[in-house]
Amino acid sequence: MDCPDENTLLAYCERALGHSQAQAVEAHLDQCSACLALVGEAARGPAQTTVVDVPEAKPGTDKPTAPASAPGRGTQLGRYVVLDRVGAGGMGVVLSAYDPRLDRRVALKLVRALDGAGARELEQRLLREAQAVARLSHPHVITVFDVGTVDGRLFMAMEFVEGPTLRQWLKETPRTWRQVLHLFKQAGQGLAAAHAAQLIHRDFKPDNVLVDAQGRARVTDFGLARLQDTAPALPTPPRANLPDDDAAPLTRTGSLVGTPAYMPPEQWSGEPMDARGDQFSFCVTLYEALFRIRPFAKGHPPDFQHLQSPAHDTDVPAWVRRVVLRGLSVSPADRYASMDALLEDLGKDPARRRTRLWATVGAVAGLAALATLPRLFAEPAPCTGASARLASVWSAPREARVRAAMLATGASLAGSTMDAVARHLSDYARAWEAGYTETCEATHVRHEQPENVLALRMACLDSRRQSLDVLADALERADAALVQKAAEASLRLPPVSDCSRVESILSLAPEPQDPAARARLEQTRLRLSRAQVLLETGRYAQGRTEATAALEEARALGYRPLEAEVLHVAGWLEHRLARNEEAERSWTEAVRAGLAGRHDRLALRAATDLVFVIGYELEDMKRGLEQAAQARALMERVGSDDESAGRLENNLGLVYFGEGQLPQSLEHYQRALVLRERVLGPEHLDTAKVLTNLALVRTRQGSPADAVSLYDRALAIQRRQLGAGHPLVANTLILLGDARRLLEGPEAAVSFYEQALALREGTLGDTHLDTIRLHNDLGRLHEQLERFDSARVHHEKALALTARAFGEEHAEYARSLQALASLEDRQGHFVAALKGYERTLALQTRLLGEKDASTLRTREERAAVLRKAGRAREALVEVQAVLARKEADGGPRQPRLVTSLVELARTWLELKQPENARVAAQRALDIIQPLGWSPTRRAELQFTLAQALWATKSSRPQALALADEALAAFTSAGKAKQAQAREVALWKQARSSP
Amino acid sequence: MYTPRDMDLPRPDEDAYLRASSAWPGVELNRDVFRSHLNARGGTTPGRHVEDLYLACACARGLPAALAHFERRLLPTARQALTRRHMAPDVVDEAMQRLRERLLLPREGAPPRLAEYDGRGPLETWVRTVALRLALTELRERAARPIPLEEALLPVQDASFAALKHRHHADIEAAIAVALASMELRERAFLRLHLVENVGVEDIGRVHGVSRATMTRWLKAARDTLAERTHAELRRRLKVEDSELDSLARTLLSGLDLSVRHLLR
Repeated sequence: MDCPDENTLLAYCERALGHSQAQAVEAHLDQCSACLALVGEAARGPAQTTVVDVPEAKPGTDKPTAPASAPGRGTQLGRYVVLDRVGAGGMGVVLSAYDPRLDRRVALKLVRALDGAGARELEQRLLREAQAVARLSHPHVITVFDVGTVDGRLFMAMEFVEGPTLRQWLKETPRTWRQVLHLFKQAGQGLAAAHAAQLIHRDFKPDNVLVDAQGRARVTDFGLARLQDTAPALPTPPRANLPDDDAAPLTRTGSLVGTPAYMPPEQWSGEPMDARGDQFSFCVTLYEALFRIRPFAKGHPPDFQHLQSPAHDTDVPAWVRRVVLRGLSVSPADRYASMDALLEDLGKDPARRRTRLWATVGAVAGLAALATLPRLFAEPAPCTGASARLASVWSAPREARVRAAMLATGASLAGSTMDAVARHLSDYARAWEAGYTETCEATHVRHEQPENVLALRMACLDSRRQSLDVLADALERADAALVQKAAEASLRLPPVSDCSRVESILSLAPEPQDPAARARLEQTRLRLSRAQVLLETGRYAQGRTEATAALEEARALGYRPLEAEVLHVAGWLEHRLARNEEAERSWTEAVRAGLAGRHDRLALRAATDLVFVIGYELEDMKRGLEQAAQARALMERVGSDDESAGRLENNLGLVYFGEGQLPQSLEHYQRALVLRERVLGPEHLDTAKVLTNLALVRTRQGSPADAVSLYDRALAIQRRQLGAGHPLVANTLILLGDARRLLEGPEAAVSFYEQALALREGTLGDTHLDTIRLHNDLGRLHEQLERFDSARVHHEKALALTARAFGEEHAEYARSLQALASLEDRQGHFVAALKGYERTLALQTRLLGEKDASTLRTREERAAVLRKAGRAREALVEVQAVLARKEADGGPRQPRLVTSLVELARTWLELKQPENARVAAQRALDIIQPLGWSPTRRAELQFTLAQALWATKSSRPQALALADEALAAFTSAGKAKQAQAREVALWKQARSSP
Repeated sequence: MYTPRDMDLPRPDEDAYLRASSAWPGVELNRDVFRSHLNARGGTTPGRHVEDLYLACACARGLPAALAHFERRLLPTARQALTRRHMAPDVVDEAMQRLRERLLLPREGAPPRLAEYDGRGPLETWVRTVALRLALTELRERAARPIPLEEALLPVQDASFAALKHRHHADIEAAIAVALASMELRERAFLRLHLVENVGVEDIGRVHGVSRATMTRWLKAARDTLAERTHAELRRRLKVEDSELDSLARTLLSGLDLSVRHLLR
């Protein structure tokens, strides 16, 4: 008996033998234990440890097809930032990544590193083909945004589609043949478009078609078959558990190596394959989807001579079957000449022809709605006009005009800001064009969208285009102030993607139909766009006038959805003007108008904004939380999306932060961060906002090290998105300086403050309030470093600039006076300090009133000086008055009382009334206990309490224990609290020695 | 006839060359040499391990870089496969020496045997199976020892049935043999891989193109059939009480794997 050779045994294991050959092998195995052992060995795969044990011969000769090392989250690849690993396949790895230029998530295919003789040429071919795919723009082909090499590896950045593969879609639930056909026609159009661009897919199968959120078929992975049609060489890769049928997707994008069921006969015979090969694969896929059985029996190659009939009765019409069978012809010449021809026949549904007549009648009825879109019909090819329509609004000449206008302002930021603006606006323009084409084609090419939906979506797109126009208009007339806001404003145009939320557009109350009303509606929309741009460019007062006019018009029209939108913008303008009560009123009305007009998304947005204006700005936590509950209910109704959820969490974080409830605040911010990183990406400005919010909490909680790294991240984002000179960057630099100060002492902050000062002087000017206040902050830093001369220079500069900017009869002037008085106090010049505080107080009482927080704060500081100057009686009266006023306003347990209570305790100590001092200090501690403040803030109170307790002589051990705790807290805070630590240590030493 | 203008028609053999030569850094094989090697072995039909064919061709032509890959990547896994079967070190060494001679040395008027590899399976597996074949030959030359059947069929703890089983031992063996013979060729093939060669369910599943779950089902079904038919055959041969037979069968089933293993060997 002759044993089969190793080739045959391996072919048996790989199922590469025909049926009769395989049987012959099995018959032999029945008799021959040696060959059985060989088959067993071959089936088993290599020993696990083999390759690991082998020392590397030389660098660069790694396993040729080792799964390409996948860069981890946060890795920068070119301009992309890796978010996640999505899958891996024969061709390499698939990552999800953030593209800061497009500001969106993309799928990044990273081709495995190639090396060796043919690598260069193979890469060139892949690159050429990928570039061809990238030039292809078709609604049923996954868009490839970018192709290139990074770190020597070929990559493709493509649209990230969240949705099942066609295979999964078919398995999810039984589909009617019409549903199946509908989806396949779309995929077929994608293939046809590729063929028209000289591209052949070569690996069409149900795993290479995705069904996106809108239910559209999207073909992907063109040409990648070059890399993956054989199994990798060595070692045998870990094979995934195979579900029953032999074509199993490993991942949604990386497909299982070799799925021979879909390959055309000519590929089996090694002949070159043309577009008709794709047609064959398409028909295998379609046959399988319709009849739930493969057309040809399994095998290598499959048995192309015998068609397998469906096991069950089927309601698929005979004409569909005929079309599919022609595509399955063994000889390419017998198939359709092209995909287009095949699709044409697939479209000849006798039943559909009747319904299409109906559609025409419906279109006539819908013409009124289309009155605003006459050009749509004038154009010969219905959906090619996107760029032309947009060019009237944003084009190279207009960009040049805007650039010239911005540069003419002479603002130092103009150049870099303009670059950012141009980038953002061209992204916006691209998104608009894509949206326009897609919307138009859905009706006029794919015939899947009713005319009335088209009209509504087009109206939405028109309003987006108008917003762009209005912004461009404002930019053409830029001044220095506008330059500062331009980069952000260009990012904050209303998103084009809203216009593809068909469901929420359809749910809106219907627009008025008579022509006069429609004209007024357009007019109001224009005003709304203007108000929006004025808001984003910082011209709040002007914006408010515009919004008020728009509101009147919208109300006169009685069109509630628009009224809601106007109210929402109005609320923001009011908030920016610090009229928070009015903002609350506007947003409350916006919620109502939104609900009345079935504009749920807007209602949700306004309710979310209410959380923050009521709960944080107006400091009414209870009502703020009620609003949050309202917003959550709306979110449930609208269908929760991460962006809204992220906004709500951030606002809740603010509310709790405002109340000093740091752990809760932290929790909400953290949730907001996760949501925003997911939906907006880790490089978005709003993500940076949460980062700085989080950092502030961590600072207050006494973890400045955490804060520093959070600020670093935020700073990097802001610099990238807004330019390194942007005023927001200066703000973050200061916050970062503060965190560093807590970590390493005041010296560490100086350079950050100085950088920020230079930025502000350059961009905001000398007399901008932010610049002036930064002088005071720098002054205070120098005070801490006991460099009193430098401190005085800064404070006096601030005073002079305030006088220049605001005059001497102004609250800001009072604040500058106060800063100087505080310096005198620190230097021990109590008389001068008191004089300064009295001037400050006189101004503040006159301008702000007695109840104002700043007035009270000044009184408190003055009381402290009185105490230090030996006038404790007077100090006591003063601090008690302040305390009483605060209590009258906000109750006995508010955090605002803490500073007053500490001062009170110190005064009582000075007056040798330790029991009273103890009571005050204990109260302060009780207030902060549940708030989670930083250990050093608590330590200050503990030390005060310790001093009081010691003085009462009744609980000295407790006093020493408290002092110990305080000392420990100060010591572990490091350099920043050195002085305090020393003070406590000395105090203790004096008391614990016998 | 539909052929779009300028369409860059994919050339399978061209792609194959580029892909294969990219896989083995330093191994430079002439394009035409490889192409004719490939075409002589079935060309680029799907599933063909083109990269491995490239390496085999280069090794057969004695390219030093290719031989280095062979030494470093292929021989160690072959050696481990033998070691894993608990073969004595001297057997393994002998087999490895023969493997090198067999695969790499040119024969009279013919290229080395490695050139025969035709790419229908990974080269690494091919080399491993050749190594095993050589080792088995080596072992056969040293004579294998038989496993006594009685041990397999008489689970020691069941003394009360020992006599019965001993008495019917010939019938039992015959019944199992009949039952086995009645099974399908393919069922026997995977039962043998499972019971005799101890190949994992998942690996056997792959040979038959089904998932692990399906293979588990198939194996269970095959074993149930086997037990049932053995039982029926015994019932026909022995004239014992039904209850007695049931007890016998139950005990027997616990030893069935061993018996089958023996018979399948």
